[in-house]
Amino acid sequence: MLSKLRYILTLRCEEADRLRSRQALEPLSLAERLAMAMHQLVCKSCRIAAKQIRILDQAISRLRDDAAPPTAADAGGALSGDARQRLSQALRDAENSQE
Amino acid sequence: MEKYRRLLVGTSRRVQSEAEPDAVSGAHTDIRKTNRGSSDDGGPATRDAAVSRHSSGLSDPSQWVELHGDAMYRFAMLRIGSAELAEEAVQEALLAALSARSSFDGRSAERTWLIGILRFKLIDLLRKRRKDKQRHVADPGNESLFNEGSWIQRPTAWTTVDSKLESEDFQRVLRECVEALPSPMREAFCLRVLDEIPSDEVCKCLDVSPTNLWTLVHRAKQRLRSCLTRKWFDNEDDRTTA
Repeated sequence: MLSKLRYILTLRCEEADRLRSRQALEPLSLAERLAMAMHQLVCKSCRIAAKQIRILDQAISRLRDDAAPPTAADAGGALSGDARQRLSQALRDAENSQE
Repeated sequence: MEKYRRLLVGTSRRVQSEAEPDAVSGAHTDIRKTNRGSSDDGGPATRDAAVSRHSSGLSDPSQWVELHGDAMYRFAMLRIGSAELAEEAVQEALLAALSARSSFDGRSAERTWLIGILRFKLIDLLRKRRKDKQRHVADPGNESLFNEGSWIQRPTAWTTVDSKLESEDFQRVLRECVEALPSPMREAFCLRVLDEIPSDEVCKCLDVSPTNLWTLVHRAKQRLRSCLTRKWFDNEDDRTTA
């Protein structure tokens, strides 16, 4: 009990940062959540970092669902003409051999 | 075969969470079997594909490269970082999709279905590539943003309009940042965070311990945060005036 209280009261930025990362992947314990919340209450840098992580997570989930056609400006995001032909040919060959 | 169908038809993310732990590896073994089936002529997949030709609801396979090639390639490039391997993965996915046409039930969009197959192919390729190299424990390195528990360089606030964060531009910068992550940090991030593949599967695929995987993901996110600060937020004034 005492060790948990000590943990909550003495949490440092580095550990808070680790907790923020872990939070995205698994649920934190009550002591961990309290420690993180209290730390962020008093630490401006960690508040900023937390907000950045939130923005990053939102952007990541947009990237996750991103299967939209690339825009013209999107260099490197499109198949080259050669690759396109190779792929089409491979598909045609496979289709013909099925028949 | 039944398990493999189930894996291919649903959106892969949902399927993965429902499926038993070995489902991901099971899936590609089965895809490989299907490929073999189609070249052997007369394998079960060949017959299935022929039977359901008219009822599948998919567009003509000859259109697939035109319709979905770029999106599939982009999906693969982000995760594997090599044009050659990305093309290989797209080709394998297209061929697997061709012989598995009968398993498409129209519950997901054609592209979602193709991307789902591609996802398994990519995991397959990553795993193979990892095996080709000598077995080594990925060292997440020692870089830290902290000294004795405190920030070395304090983060500076991102000042931005929310609507800009949804812009195609911002997504492009984020993609660049992901592509700039070193291996195996990038693979760890893509598989675990982006594709939401369960940790134990990712550990097997990349041959890392759970602690190492976690550290890799943590470092990846730290890097993405500083990369975005550098590439997007610090330049935002130029962007608006340009």
